[in-house]
Amino acid sequence: MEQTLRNIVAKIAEVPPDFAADASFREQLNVDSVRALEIVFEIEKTLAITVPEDRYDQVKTLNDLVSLVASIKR
Amino acid sequence: MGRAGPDRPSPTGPGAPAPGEVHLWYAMPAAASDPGLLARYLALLQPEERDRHGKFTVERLRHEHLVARALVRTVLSSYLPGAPAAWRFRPGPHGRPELDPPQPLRFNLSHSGDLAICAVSGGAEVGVDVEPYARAEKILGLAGRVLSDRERTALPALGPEQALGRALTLWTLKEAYVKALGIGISVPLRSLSFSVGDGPIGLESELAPDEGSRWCFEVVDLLSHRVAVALAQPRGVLPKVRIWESAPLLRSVPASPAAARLPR
Repeated sequence: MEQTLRNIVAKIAEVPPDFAADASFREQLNVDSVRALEIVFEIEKTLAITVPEDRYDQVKTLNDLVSLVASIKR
Repeated sequence: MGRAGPDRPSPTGPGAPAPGEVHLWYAMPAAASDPGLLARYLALLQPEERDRHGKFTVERLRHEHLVARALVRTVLSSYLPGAPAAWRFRPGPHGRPELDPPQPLRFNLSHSGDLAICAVSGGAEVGVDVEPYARAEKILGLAGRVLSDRERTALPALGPEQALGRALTLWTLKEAYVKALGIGISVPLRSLSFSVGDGPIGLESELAPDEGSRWCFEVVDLLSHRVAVALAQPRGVLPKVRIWESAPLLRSVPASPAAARLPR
């Protein structure tokens, strides 16, 4: 799953997919609010899940995103 | 502080923004390419800012961050007695940077590729957001998640071009508002409904009905970007927006009327 999420982030942020899993989305990976929502949409579409809006702010890095999606899929 | 040269506080600053007034200062990161100038920008940063600067992995983002920090610092020095390198910041209750110690000004920063913008108020909470026109289509594609039912149902009657412009306006207003609140995007943007017409821009917030009476808003077009400002002032007032173009540490001039206009 991490690779799937990594590829989605890399595609939308337009950065190479080998970024560090603890790299800050906002500051290091070009993920502003518009891109953050695009990433959420893409994840929901790809994994057929719903990410609750009140949890968006928990996600600062790929590690956070993997944890969040894992908790939703359980 | 106190030494001669362009790092010195400007003796001819615009004066603190009056109540109901927002000052916007914009810089164009692409115009700052001189290595000597960039070294001077880097020298303005506090150690923790320099650490953050060093962590950017994408060169363009690192550069935009540097110019934006230089812009904030030089703008603050045009109002307050202090050199650009002297300002210290701390995260506010929700992580938004605030001046430490507090000063009788509020500021907020937004950057989007070609433009960095710093909004300044005379003490009222202020938020700013900038997005290029080129992003309107992407934002319209997010309408289902971002716009309220009322905002969304108004789009088809506008026609394709105007709908793109409206989506951009609504997005930047929502972002400017949540940035003024300092709480990030955990506010469900669909719960916010803006009315954009000929009069003052209105806000209805499902979760906090009193909010609409506490804020006023304005939208400005600037060099192929839309810029929205939120200011904590009673509803029904249009904030007066004054705009300057800045090349940090080099010069600041009032924006030319050709560069900035009110789209409404």
